Amino acid sequence: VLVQDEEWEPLVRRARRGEPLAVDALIRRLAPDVGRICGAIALDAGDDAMQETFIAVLRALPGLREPAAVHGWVRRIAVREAVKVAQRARRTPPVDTDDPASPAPRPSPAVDVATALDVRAVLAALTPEHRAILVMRDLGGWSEHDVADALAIAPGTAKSRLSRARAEFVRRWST
Amino acid sequence: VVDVSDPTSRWPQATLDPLARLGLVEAAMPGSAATEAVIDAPFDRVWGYVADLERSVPEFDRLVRRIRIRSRRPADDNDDGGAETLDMQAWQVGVPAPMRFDVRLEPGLCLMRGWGRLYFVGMAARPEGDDRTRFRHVEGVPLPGARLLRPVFRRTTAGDMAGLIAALRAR
Repeated sequence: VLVQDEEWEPLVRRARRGEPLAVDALIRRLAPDVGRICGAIALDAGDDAMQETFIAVLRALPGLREPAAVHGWVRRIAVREAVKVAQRARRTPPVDTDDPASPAPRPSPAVDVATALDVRAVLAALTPEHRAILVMRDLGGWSEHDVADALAIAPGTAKSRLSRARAEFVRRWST
Repeated sequence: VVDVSDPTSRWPQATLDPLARLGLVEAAMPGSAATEAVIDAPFDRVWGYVADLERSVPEFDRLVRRIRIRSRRPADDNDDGGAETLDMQAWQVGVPAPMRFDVRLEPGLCLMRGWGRLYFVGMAARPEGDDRTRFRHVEGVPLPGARLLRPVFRRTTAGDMAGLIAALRAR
């Protein structure tokens, strides 16, 4: 639920002026939420996604019209950056550095689920786009409208994507 | 039935290490410069030494004569980072009056704000393997136009880093 929190305002104003302790306080306050979004969407690249998110946030902070709405604004940036980082990570699969001669054996998603039945393994089997929509709706409790807005897609598309993502999640989980 | 709405630790959680956090603070402060190095000593030894600011700072920073912690507020339950807040005075070489600093100190990260809010010093460390430590030291002035001071801070942070490495080696 995106609640406009008046307490954010003084902190955002101080951070905007580049006050280092205020910048750090803002980051610390947003970190649990941003970490959850980036971790669930970008998985192993979650820490990178989190850093990219905050770089984007700090760059755009001076232009933020409503400081009180910073929380929802940052969450949207986190989703966008995490999807971007996750897509990039998919295109460049990790290489086994211990044995440069052979590419890293990537376990198939089905094997992952069978061997480690946890949320992470199930999430890893989904596309970044499906992870993003599950994180927003089912972990974050965002409204359909906010989800569609964050992903820049039509509400109807968000709805059908969510049902496909949920079905995929449950199917992978029960495999 | 799978409860996908359970917001517990079962969902992967990303984090920022102290160097990443300090890097973000720097990114918001154009009038800053940093020196980073990998120190040939384990994290506990490096941070154990650095965090004792009254002893360490006058040893590794040749521009500081003396440091005094006037008060120390321990981490409280409301603080997520487990940080202490210090009220600190620093006497610089050739300057009779001390400069007051507000300090936030937590494992691997020290953020100091002095001279009103016009001067910032930051230090961050994380283990680099078992035996080494990546250390970043930043100084800056959070004011528009302070970009011109970057060469100064590049020099002072590099000097402090050399002092820190020498002090750790001598111990």
